[in-house]
Amino acid sequence: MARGPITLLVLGALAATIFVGCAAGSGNSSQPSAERQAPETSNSSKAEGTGSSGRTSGERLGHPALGSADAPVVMTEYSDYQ
Amino acid sequence: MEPKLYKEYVEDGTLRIEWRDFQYRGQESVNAAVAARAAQAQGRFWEYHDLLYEEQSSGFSDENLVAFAEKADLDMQRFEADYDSARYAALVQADFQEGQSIGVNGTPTFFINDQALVGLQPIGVFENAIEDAEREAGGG
Repeated sequence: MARGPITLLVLGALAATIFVGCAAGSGNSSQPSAERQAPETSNSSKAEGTGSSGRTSGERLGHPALGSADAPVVMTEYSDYQ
Repeated sequence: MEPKLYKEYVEDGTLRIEWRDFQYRGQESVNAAVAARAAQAQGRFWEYHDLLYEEQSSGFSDENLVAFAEKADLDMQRFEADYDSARYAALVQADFQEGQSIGVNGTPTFFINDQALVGLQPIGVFENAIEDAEREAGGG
């Protein structure tokens, strides 16, 4: 007769464990994508060195760029050298 | 055009200029772009870029591209290794494909935020487009 409440307690504890595990799992699954995105954003502004002309060049070999990554206007130029 | 826009808009943080390779005039054109990326790996893309335009008339043979690298004061061992390995060819190709995918079919083609400007235009056209874009972005 005492097995009923004990079983309920065990089941309750199991359910709580599964719930907490799922919550932690979903947190972990979203976090890496945020981490993956962050370096791209930060690198776009930081991965530039100053050349002798005072302009900057991408060190990480992203797109060569001049100016702040936070500039409100971006001019993208498709060009060749000939 | 670029130095004027740089002074007017890049220096005060209004404008960012991003380069995309759209090399469609043959292998020398592609080689020049790869060489410029090899220069970029040493932090000297824009110096090399300017040299390529200045020396356009002499052509972009391998010998000339190496000579430009010397003129740009690059680490020649590293430059030649990067250039010979065509290490950055995939970047050049990716830019070209990206351009094609958004309708670029000639050079130069500019996008000022979302507005396309095709071909060389008077400087005033760029100034107006930049100022319009800045207003639309809420900055002016």
